[in-house]
Amino acid sequence: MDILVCIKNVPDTSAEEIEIADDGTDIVRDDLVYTVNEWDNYAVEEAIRIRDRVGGSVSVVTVGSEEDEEALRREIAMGADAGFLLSDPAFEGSDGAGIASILEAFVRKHPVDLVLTGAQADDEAGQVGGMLAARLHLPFASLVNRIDIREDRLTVEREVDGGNVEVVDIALPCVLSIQTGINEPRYVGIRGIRKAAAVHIPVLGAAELEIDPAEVGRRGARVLLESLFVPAQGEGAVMLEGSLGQQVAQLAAALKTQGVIR
Amino acid sequence: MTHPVFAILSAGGSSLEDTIELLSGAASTVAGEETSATAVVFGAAPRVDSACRAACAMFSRVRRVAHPVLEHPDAEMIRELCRRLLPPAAIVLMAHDPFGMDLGPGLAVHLGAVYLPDCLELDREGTGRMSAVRQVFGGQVNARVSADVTSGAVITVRPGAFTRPEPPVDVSREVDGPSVASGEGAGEGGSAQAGEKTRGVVPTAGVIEDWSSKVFREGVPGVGRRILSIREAGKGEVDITRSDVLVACGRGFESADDLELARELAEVMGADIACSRPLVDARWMEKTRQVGSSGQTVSPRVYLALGISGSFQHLAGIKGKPFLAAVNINRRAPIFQVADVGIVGDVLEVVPELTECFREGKG
Ligand SMILES: Cc1cc2nc3c(=O)[nH]c(=O)nc-3n(C[C@H](O)[C@H](O)[C@H](O)COP(=O)(O)OP(=O)(O)OC[C@H]3O[C@@H](n4cnc5c(N)ncnc54)[C@H](O)[C@@H]3O)c2cc1C
Repeated sequence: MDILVCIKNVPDTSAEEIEIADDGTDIVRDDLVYTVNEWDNYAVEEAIRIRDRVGGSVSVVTVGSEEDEEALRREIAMGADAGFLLSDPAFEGSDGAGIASILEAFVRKHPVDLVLTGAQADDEAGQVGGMLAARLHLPFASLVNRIDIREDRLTVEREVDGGNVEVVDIALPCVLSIQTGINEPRYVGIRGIRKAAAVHIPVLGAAELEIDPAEVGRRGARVLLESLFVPAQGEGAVMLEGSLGQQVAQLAAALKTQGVIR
Repeated sequence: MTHPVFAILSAGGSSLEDTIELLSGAASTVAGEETSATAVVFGAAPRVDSACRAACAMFSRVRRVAHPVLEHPDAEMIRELCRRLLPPAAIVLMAHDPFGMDLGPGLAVHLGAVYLPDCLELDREGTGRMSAVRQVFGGQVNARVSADVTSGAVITVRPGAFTRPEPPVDVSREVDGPSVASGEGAGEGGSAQAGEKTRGVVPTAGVIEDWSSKVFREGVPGVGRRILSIREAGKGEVDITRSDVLVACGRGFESADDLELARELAEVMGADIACSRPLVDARWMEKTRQVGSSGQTVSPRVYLALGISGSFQHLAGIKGKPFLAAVNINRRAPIFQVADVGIVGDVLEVVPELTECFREGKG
């Protein structure tokens, strides 16, 4: 089975105090460490496991710039067979629909049996997989946390509210968006990354993909980012102050007042 | 040009009442005064009828689409039915839940509409434009986006972000026919015509129109996917939904071994241990201890969040307004927006101190 996984290189922000850049439409990215979007990593691991079971190939693709090549190499180090970087000045500023149409153009040139995406990435939209499927007129299932192969079909499980599971029969080829926890992604060692450094990664632009530059990027975007802002604190928490010992004593006292007795 | 507004509901969906309230709140924001929104309820009888009645409480018009194939809310099927049913340039609302996430992006493509996912706020901006506020980067930052909605929009709405508006005006109520419960509508030469009100249930405010036969006139859409069954989540050894005090651990714990510190704290506090999703994904904790939209819904008196950022999917599982205390190394972590008391610090330092504090207090 030939599998394509769409991935995104994202800044790891959870433990960082994000700053908003001066023009108000981006975050300050200079000091942030980039990683492969968490959900995508599970998708690549799943693709590799399927290939190892039934044969075929795993390709990874991203829409981005030169810096994002590193993310493709990381997934090649993990076990993907090939990586493709879709990059062109005309792609910059694409909205979700633009990204989906660039990926669509790529899939039309490199048809596969199965396309995987992460369930969502750093913009928390969860849109590219479903849009890509619709553009390709392929069946789609989101939030997949199990895949079983049955000849020309799959039985997949979708994780829905409350951890309940929808068992779904879906025809191939199809597009699935992968939920975390579907597997345990393997560790990528420094040696693997070094080996992947030599792999040639083709870069494809609007011309190669036969994309009309007016349809994508900032020009084609119908959804525009106006501004980023830090949400109002609302009431917000009472932030404890003082030495660690003092803060902890205050916290313990507060918890006891709330009835935590022991 | 005014855009007709539709809210998509699945009769089999979880928390239907909440979704109805959510979407009616969002609809009244985007519909403005000149139009009112229409709810479309998909499902199989008899569940679809109780869902229609519930929708009537908050929508002045409800379209009922019933068929046995809709027993499970299959978004692939419902997307095709939406294409048959929705007029051009519609504003289409649904909840940002596993059903909406499945349905929405593809529907936007097929309708030629823009897609606005997981919206917290919505505003109309004159003709053909709309703006929305959404969370990005794990909820640390909000984004205001604006969209060209001249060809319509598909919008998924953050659960809980909109509340019940004023009840809709009492339009021409229709109260003949006691119930629509018997009709499956589909295929069998149904009596409903486009826009025609056929059999109505006694509505609180809205009118139910049966669209089943119209929508299924061309037959059941062929889609490449089918729901085989629904499996309920399993039960674990500890039922955290009944716990009074919870010590909840997140990815701020970098190894499974460090969780021992939290277990010791929980013990001296008389608390149960809960966690965020990544610890379950990493197989460090059982699924039954996961709090959140895809885990358990808990309602303790006290919730101590350790190294948890406070994503909306996690917070969705905390009900009943507990006293919420948070320890997080990042003072910008969204958990502090909702916590009552917070410490900016490292769980590896704070947790043992706190355990010690409770131990001393005990002696
Ligand atoms: C459809 C769907 C359903 C989901 N359902 C759920 C669900 O049911 N439950 C759930 O929890 N999530 C759910 N998620 C995942 C959710 O989006 C978040 O990814 C998740 O909640 C994050 O968990 P976390 O806060 O532990 O980790 P992170 O977001 O990574 O946050 C870790 C926090 O720890 C802090 N930290 C780091 N080191 C330390 C330290 N040494 N001391 C103190 N603090 C530290 C960081 O500052 C950060 O704030 C769902 C996602 C999707 C798409």
